[in-house]
Amino acid sequence: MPSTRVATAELLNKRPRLTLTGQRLLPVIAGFLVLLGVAAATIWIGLSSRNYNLLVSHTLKVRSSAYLLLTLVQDAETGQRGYLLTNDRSYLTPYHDGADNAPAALDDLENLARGNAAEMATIGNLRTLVSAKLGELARTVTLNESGDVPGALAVVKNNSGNNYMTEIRRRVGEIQDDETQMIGAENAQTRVYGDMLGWFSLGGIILVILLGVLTILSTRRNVLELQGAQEAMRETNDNLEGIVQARIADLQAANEEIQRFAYIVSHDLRAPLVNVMGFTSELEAVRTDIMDFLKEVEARAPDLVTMDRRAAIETDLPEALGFIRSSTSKMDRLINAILKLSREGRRVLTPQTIELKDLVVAQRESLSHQLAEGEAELTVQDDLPTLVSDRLAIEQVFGNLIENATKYLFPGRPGRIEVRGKTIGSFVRYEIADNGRGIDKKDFERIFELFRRSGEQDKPGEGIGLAHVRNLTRRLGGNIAVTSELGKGSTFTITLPAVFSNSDRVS
Amino acid sequence: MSHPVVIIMIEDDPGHARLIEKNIRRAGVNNEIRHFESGTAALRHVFQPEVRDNGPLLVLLDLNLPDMSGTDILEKLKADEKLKRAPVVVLTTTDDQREIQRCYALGCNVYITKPVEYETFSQAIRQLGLFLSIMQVPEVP
Repeated sequence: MPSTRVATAELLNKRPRLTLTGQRLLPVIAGFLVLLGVAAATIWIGLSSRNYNLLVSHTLKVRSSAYLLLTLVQDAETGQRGYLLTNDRSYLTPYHDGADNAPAALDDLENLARGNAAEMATIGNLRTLVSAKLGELARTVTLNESGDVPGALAVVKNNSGNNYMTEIRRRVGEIQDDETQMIGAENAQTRVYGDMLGWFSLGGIILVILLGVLTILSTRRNVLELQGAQEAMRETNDNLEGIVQARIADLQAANEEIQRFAYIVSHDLRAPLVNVMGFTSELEAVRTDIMDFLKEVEARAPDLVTMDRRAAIETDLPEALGFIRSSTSKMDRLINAILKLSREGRRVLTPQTIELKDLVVAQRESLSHQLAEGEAELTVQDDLPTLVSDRLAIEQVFGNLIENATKYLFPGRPGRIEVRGKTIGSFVRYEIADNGRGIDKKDFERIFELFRRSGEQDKPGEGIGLAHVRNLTRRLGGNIAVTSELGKGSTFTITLPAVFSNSDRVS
Repeated sequence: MSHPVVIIMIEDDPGHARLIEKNIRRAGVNNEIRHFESGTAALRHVFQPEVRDNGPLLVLLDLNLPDMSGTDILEKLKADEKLKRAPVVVLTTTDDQREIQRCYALGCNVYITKPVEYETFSQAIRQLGLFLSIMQVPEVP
């Protein structure tokens, strides 16, 4: 059936690939990478903004520190001026507070500015100016305390103190401006990063959405393909069932045809044989008449009966008739064998439980005479597996094999025939082993063919038994094989389904 | 018995026909034997009014005929109001059980397999002859 075969191949080819390929994974991986990038950028920008915050707080500290310094110096000057104007000593309290704390404030400022060379230089100047200013203040206070009021006022009037103050203000202003500038630059940079993060996140989100859409589309396609694949599988299954059904029907039809063929051939061959045999018998009857006639002729005219004529009637004629007769008989036996096989193939098999051990023991009984003749012993395994099969067929299979073992013993050696078996999965395997004459390896297949025999042809037989046995085992869903060594013995192995049902029929 | 029984032999193989006839004669049956080599010819003959209405008949029927199956002939004979009384002896090479059953189901009276072994064959035919010589064939009313 080539058409169904093509259809099967086509269906098998149509089966789609169901593996998740790299191509399909790509959007997922890309989306993951984008998210990873966005996360990294966020972390990085977060870290930068933390730096910025630190910087801002530092700047504020610097600025407040510088301002504190300026305030302290101004406090000291204010106290000094008040004292000098009023000579009230209570004004010395702010003076002392300012003068005493200013150096510490300056130290703080210097500590904060460490690392900034420009600021450190300014602070150095500031230190000189502050100590000069504080020195001027201290001088006037000391002069005033000692009662030299005009001296003290003179110092104030020369305006150097005022110049120092202006310079200090300028320097503090410089530091503050510098810090403001720095923070501004940093602020701008951070804003750039912030914007970048914004754009980056936006891009990431768009990309992720895009990839999401792509993934959904690709998944949809996958699902559709899978559905298609399932559909195709279902169709294949349905078709396979159909194909198997068709094959079985074909096989059965072919088998029926062979059976019918064998049957017709055997019958149509038989009809002419009836004639050959029938008229041979008629000829024999005629020959008897001729013999009588010959005797009569011999009595009346003996010179007519020559040696040749006598031989023709008395020897040649019966010899020819004998050959015709024996050949026809043989042909009849062969035709009957074919008929038997074809008939066996038509028989409906009925499975039933068979206690094979009992069956073999019964066959041993019926063969006891032949076994005794060959001094042969047949042993049956105690736990020979039972099986469910067609009883008649099994009887014929074992009967044939055991009979063969009995028939072809090694001359002069007591026969040992053993029937054993075991269960293998859902099959049973039986062995019939003998120590007989054995079979040549080249004949292992031949012996199962119809009308073929092996070895010395010293026993009667048509070469039908084993062909019949193989036919039966195959019909029962099993098979038969032989191993043998010439002069040592043979082992026939039969494998059969442990439970036979008619649906198992192969041929 | 106003008329002697006429034997209608339907047999395509002339050899078989001759052997059957010889052996029937050897059994001492001297009734008229009409031989037909095809089913068509045989049916045409027996369905002629003068044959159909006048005679006790006995049919020797072979199943393997070139023009029609022996069972078809059997069926036609047994379906006919008058011819169905004629005993039918199926004499054939087929010994298939189904075929035998079918023939009996169709109303065949005796089914005989032609044995190839000639002695058996001639014996069977002779026995048939003896059987025929004592068998009562119903008269056509």
